[in-house]
Amino acid sequence: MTPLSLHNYLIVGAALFALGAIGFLTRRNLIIMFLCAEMMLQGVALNLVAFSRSWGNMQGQAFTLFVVTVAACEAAIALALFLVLFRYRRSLDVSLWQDLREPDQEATVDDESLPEAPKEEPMPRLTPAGHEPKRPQETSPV
Amino acid sequence: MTTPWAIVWPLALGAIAIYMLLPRPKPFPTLIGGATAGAALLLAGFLLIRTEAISPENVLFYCFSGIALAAGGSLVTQQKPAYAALSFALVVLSTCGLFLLQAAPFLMAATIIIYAGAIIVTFLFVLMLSQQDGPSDADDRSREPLLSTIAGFVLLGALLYVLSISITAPSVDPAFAPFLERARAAAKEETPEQIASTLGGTKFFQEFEKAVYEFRETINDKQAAAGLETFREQLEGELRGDWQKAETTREAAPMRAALTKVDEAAAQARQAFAASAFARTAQAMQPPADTLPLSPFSGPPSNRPIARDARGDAALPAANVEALGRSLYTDFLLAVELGGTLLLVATVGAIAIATRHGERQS
Repeated sequence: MTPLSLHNYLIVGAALFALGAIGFLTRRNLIIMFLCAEMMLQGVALNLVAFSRSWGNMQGQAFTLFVVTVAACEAAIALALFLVLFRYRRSLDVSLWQDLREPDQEATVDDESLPEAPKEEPMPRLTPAGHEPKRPQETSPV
Repeated sequence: MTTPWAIVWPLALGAIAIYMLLPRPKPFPTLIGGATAGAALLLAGFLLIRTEAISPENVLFYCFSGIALAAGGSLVTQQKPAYAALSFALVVLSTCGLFLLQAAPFLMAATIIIYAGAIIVTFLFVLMLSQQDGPSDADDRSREPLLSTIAGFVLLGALLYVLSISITAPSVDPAFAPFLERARAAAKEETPEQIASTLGGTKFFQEFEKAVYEFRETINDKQAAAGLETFREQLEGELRGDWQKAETTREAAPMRAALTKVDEAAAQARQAFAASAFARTAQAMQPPADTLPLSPFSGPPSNRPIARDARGDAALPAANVEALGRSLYTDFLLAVELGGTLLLVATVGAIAIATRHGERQS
C-alpha cells in the first residue's frame, strides 16, 4: 500500500508552510508579513484535509474549520494593531519598531541607499500661438 | 523518489530563486530569478511528486499545486503590497481547488467566502496605509534574506526527508506473497511434472527476482535495501541453481526441498527487513490499539481496519456537510463553543485596540 495522494498533498502543504515562514522572517511590510502567516495556515489546513481523506475520517476537516476560525481572529487583531502602529510611525515598516528588541541584540542598519524614484516628467504645455484679441472695454451704463 | 538526495536539487534551486527574487535596493535580474523558480517547480514536480497514471485528478492536482506554489513564491517576493494581496488570493483559490480534490467541498466554499472578505479588507488597508510614491524601506528591503531563505528551505528539506522515510510502503509482504504462494502450491503437487508446471520452471525465479528488484528500488534506506539485495542475489544464483539441479533428477523430493529453501530464504529476508531502522520507523506510524474506545461519530475510528483504494484513500461520506456537522456537534461540541468565545473576545479586543483613546472621552 503506497498512500500516493496523501504523500503528494503533504509535500505541497509543507512547501506552502516553508514559503510562508521565509516571507514572515524576511519581509518588512506588516501587511505582507500577515499574508505570509496566513499562507502558513493554508499549508497546515491542506495537511489536515489530506489526512482526513486518507483515513476516511471527518476529524481533519473539523480541525481545519477551527484553523480558519483562529485565522479570522488573528486577522482582526493583527489589522487593528497595524492601524495603531501606523498612527505612531506613519509607516508599515516593521524595522521602525526595532527598539523593542532584546538589549544584547544589535540594531539593523540599512547600508545601501534606496534607488531614486523615477522623476515624473512635467505635463507637456502647448506653446501659445497667435495673439490675444483685444476686447472692447466693458462700460457700465450706470 | 529513489534516493533521499532527490530532494536536494529542487530545494537548492528554489532557495537560489527565492534569494534572488527577494526585494533589495539593487535587485538581481527578475528574469533569471523567475526562470530558476520555474525550473525548481518543474524539477520538484518531476522528482518529488509520485503519480502513476495521467488521470483528470492528477492533472488538476498538478495545476492547482503548481499555481499555489508559484503564487506563494510571488507573495513572498512581491514588492507592491497590492500585488502581494492578489497573489495571496491566488494561493487561497488554488488551495481551495486542492480541498475539492480531497473531497472537502464545504471547506472549499467556506474558505473562499471567508478569505474573500479577508482579502478585500487587506486591500482596504493597503490603500489606506501603504500609499506612497517611489521606493520605501518597508517594501524594497528584506531582513537577512540569505539566512531566512536557508532557514526556510532547511525546514522544508527536513520535512520532506521525514515524509519520504516514513510514508513509503514498509512491508515486503505484498511483493513476496504471490511468489511464495505459488511455491507452496507447487510443493503440494504429486508428480515432478506437476510441480514444475505449477511453479513455472526457472521463469519463476526470474520473475521473483524482478519483483524483489522493483521493490528494492522503492526503498530509500541503505541497510534495508542491502538485505533485499542479498536475497535477490540468492534467488539469482544459489536457489535457482538448486532448483535446476533438482529438476534434472526428475524426482519430487529434491524439488520440494529446493522450494522449501526458497521459502526459508524469503522468511530470513523478511525478518532482516523488518528489523531495519527504516521498517521500524514505518511501524511507528501504525494506528492505536483496537481496545481503545474511540468515537465513531467522525467516521470509522482509526484503530479499525480501513478499506483503501489504489491511491491509498479511504471512502468519505458523500454528504459532506452532514458528516461535518455531525462531527462538529458530537465530538467537537466544546471546541465549537470555545471557537465562538474566541471570535467574540477577538472582536472586543480589535475594537479596544483600534479605538483612539483621546476620542473616547468626547
